[in-house]
Amino acid sequence: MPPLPQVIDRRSSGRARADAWLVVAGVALAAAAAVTLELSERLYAFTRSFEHAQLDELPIVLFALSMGLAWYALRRRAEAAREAVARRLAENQLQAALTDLRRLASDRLASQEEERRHVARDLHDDLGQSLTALKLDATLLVGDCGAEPARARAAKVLQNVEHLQASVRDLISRLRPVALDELGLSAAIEHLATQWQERSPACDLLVTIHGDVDAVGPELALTIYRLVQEGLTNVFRHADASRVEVTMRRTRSAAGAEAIRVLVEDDGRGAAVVQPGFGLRGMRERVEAAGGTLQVGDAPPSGFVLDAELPIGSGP
Amino acid sequence: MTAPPLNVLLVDDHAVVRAGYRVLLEKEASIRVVGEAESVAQALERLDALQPDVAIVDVTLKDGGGIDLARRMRSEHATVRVIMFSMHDEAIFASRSLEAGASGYVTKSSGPNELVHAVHEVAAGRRFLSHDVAQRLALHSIDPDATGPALAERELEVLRLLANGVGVKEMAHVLGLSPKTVANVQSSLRRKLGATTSVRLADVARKLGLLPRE
Repeated sequence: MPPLPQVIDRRSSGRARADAWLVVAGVALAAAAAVTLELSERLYAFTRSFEHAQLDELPIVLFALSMGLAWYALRRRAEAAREAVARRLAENQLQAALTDLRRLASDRLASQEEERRHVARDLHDDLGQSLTALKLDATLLVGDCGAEPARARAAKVLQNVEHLQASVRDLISRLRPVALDELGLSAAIEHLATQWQERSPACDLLVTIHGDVDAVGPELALTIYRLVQEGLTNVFRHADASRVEVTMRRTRSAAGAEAIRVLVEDDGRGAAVVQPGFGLRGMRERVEAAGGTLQVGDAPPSGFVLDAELPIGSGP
Repeated sequence: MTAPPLNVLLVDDHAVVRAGYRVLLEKEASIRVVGEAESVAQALERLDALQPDVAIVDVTLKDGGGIDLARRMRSEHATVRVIMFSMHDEAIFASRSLEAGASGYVTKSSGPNELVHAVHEVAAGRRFLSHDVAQRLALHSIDPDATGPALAERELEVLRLLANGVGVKEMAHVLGLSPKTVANVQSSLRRKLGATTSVRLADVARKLGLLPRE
């Protein structure tokens, strides 16, 4: 078996040192007391009166007992130390496995999103453009057909082409956030907010963007988009808020790196209604995989706030 | 005497689409397709060389964004009218296009006649949106050629201050209102104008003449 790594726990070694000093002090005190008070002479005198009970051998017995206890304690201590090391090893392995798992999950997510981006682009470029050309020809065909049944048939072709165009558009919007790839992050967020505002006219939704947030990589843009998307979904489904504010700001992190700060705040029911199924953990994983931080919680006097900061340029 | 035909430049990175629309547009005696381009670089070059009246530009091009191209075209040739062209029919595409200086937005799923109509309208100095996108945009947009939405005096004042970056407390102080009233006016302004972002509000303010032109 390989040698176990040393486990140095500062606090407990400090306590051990203090305990050792206490023992030394105690023994010194006892020695001083024994010398000054002539304790062993008194003890001898005391036990002499009980010689029939062999009580005079008591000091020797007590000495043997204390040696035995010391040996016992040292053995237990060595055992405990070995157990602590083994546990530390197991914890490290667990932590490493957890990190690997997280990285795996985030990689899988990233490649899934990348795949969707490619498919959306192909749908737009290949299918979309061919359909456009088809529609043109079909329209011209309807005009060219003078008589029935050709004209009616051509009209049906045109109708089907239009239906196909709508389907392809829907497919594309299911794969990628609207406008994110073509117009950038701020446009995508604005569109998202407009959609929610239209659905909830009673709620006041405000989006404020400071600085250029569009000049971030596509993966970061998507992470930020998904964060705001999840945040808004939660607000409109659970918070019962009258006012929601989404803020995006180009800023510098504490370490001085370029970053984007994202906030989603509402004046609704607050953290009390937050349940495990709200996707917060998934959000946190995404944000942390991107090298950022996420804080959530109550926003006094009432409501909830989601506060993230993501560095530009490092991580996915 | 009939007016000279309108010179049109087609910018789309799909040859099939360019060919189709060229055929369509050239059926009109009043329109002449003088050139085609399949990239941002080509488009700018052709724009210089051909000086068309109207440019029809796809929102997505292989070497850049069509909307940025529109902005550049307008800054380099103030007389060219740009019509943005796309599969997408969401309002955000049209509003960003118009903001960039385009005069029109036509979807590829709208009838081909809409594009012809668009060419004529924008050449005459008007705006044109294909009907599908116009409907979506009508829910939340300002037409600067119209007199704008009916805004009360107080709302106009708040809008002006808001667009100048004045905060709620200061605004309340300046206008002699309570902060709560100011916040309410701002909320109703945003709802009336469909402006969910402060950038949009600034745009509206500019269009209504409340901010100095840049």
